[in-house]
Amino acid sequence: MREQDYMKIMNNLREDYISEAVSWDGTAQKNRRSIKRLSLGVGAIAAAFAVVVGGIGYGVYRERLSANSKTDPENSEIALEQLNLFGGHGEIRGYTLSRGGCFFRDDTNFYCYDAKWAIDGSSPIFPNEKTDLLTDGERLYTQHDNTLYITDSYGKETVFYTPETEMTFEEIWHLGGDNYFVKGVKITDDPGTYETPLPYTNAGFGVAFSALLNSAAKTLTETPEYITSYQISPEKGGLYWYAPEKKSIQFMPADDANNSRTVYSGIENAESWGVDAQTDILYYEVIERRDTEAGSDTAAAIYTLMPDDAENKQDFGIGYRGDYNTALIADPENDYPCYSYFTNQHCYGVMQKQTESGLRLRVMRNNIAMDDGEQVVFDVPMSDLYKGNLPDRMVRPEMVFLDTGDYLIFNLPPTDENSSGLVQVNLETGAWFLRDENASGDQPENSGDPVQQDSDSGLYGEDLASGYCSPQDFPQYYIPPENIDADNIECYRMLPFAKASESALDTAALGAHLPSGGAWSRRDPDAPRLTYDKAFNCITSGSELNAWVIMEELCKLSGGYDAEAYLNDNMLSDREF
Amino acid sequence: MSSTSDAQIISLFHARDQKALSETQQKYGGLCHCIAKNILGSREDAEECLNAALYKLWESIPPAKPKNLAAYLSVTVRNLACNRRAAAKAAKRGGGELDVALSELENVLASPERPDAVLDTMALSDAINRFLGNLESETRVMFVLRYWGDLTIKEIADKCGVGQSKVKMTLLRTRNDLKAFLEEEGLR
Repeated sequence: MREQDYMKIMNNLREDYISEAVSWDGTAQKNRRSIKRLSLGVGAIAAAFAVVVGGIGYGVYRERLSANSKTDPENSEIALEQLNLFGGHGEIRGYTLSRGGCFFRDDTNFYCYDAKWAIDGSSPIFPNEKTDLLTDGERLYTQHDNTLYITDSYGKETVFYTPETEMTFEEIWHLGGDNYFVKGVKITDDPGTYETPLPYTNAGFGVAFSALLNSAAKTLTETPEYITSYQISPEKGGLYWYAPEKKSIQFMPADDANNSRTVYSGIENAESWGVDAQTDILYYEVIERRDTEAGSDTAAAIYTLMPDDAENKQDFGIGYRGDYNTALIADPENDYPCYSYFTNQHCYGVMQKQTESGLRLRVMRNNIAMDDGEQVVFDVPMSDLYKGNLPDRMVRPEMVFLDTGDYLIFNLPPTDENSSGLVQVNLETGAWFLRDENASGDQPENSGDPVQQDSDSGLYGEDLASGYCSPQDFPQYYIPPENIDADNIECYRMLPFAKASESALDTAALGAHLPSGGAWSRRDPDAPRLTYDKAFNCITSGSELNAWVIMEELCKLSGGYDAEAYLNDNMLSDREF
Repeated sequence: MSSTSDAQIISLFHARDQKALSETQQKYGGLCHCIAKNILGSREDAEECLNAALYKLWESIPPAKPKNLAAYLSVTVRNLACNRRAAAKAAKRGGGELDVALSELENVLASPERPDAVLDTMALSDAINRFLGNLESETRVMFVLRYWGDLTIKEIADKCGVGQSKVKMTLLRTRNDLKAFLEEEGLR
């Protein structure tokens, strides 16, 4: 085709389509989309964790429970009653993430969405397949059959709430008494609504919602608009939420979704904010241009507001209040802007600081008002954290902080060269661990006794277990070499990054999922659409072992399973087409 | 990114306040630079193109009062870039992302079995517009950014707030769907 013909065709695209495209705001759209496990306000932790998990590779399951599994001889002696819902030991404690999301710990591990790792750093990150647990910070919840249950650590359930229509819950916050703030997805058959991969019900379509739930009256009242940025305030009996169109932070009482009132006004494009419960002072950060002697530059500036006093916005200063360069604007030659992240209780400052020894990443932790003496919890050379070339400038990183009081876990800001990783800091001792495939591998500074993982080890050198499967989740399946030609295989598992057997089946390239029983089914696990034999034949007879070609073929054979949803599930951004 | 609204920027143009240009550049310069660079293949040429586009805006507003300043500027930049490319390269293909995008789409728009067939570009444009009208917004946006804007996969992913794999997969499926659509319409 001649280039001028191509240009002519494209030059005649409708103007409104062009307007739509150039004006598209991906961030705003993401907030309105149903967000499976991504409702974290400030950052996309599931994306960060998924990239890390995918990059490192999966290890061996040692704590799986399945009545249908071919048991690993080593695990067959594990008594089921000793293991909690995660397959771990001890009572499960839940923590909520500010602005949404939750994570858990038991005696041994942290669990955060589809990742788990040993608290003491003795393990790398493993996949966590128990991803349907919720918490409001006090109790644990699970859901199935369109009902939300309170559960204990071992699966003993009591009914909490059954909605009138089909929906799935993604967040639950206790506002006091019988009142809760919840977020989730309403299931719909209408393909015109936002398509979403849903973790619990396998439905294909849904619309995100936020609502107040009263557990005694069994009522669910949707909020007038979908709330994305919020801070619960049980002490005041409700929640603060950011209304972008009104440029204000409103307060919604726990028992009246339709009666919000403006508390802080004149707030535009707040990047991050928090209300100090003791003083009622709002702290919020915006990115704005400021004039300097050298010209003007953008900066992350923090302002404060008292309730109902919009005229008296106070300039709190640039970024996080700390002992960094005193210039009004961070000098790109020396320091970089410091970004603040507010949670319900704390403010975290993240900055890159140029020192005589080189560039360092520093994280500070303080209460929201930053008046309690800041604690530098992390101060490490950037070269210890990132392989490859360091960026000239770090754009505002999307970060999430998991704070248990004794540990702080956060994702490293990604750079152009390196994917994000996880850092876990012991707040009492200062020891920290890094979980990232691009770690330099050298003994990091300021560490206690961290475990250095071998980023080249692939599957961590463990023998691959075979036969584990779960009828509840979407496990990965492995085809052991001895089973390639077998006829009577009950369930299989393919591990990504596993090298092919003699059959030349490159499971590393596939990363495919086959549910238990060998059937390919996304919508309804009990009604398989594709038998294992057909899937297996498709995979092994593919003329080109291109992962996406085979994936598309499997999708077609299974009657239109949504590969796009699969991609969203797995964030396989490193895979080649 | 500037927080000045489009209405405020257009008011600055009408008041002949040169701050209009800096505000426009700050707000939309990034995207327009990407469009121009991907067509021209050169950062310097793209900057010249953007400057020329801003000058054109200054000359045309007023009396023009664009409803969508981003689109107005983007189209201006693209047209300038395309003209500049055509003048520099004649009928030959140059480098840059435009070639990559073209190579992705050419077998969709034209049958490889009839390489010499004269293309009815107007009919194809009409058909593509009808096809785009049936797409979900995000899919349509990705298509337009790729094949009208010539943005790279990464640039599209950043703008749409999604991963690159999702962009690739979406474009792949959309191209396949477009191919089937054009075959049904008898245009391929």
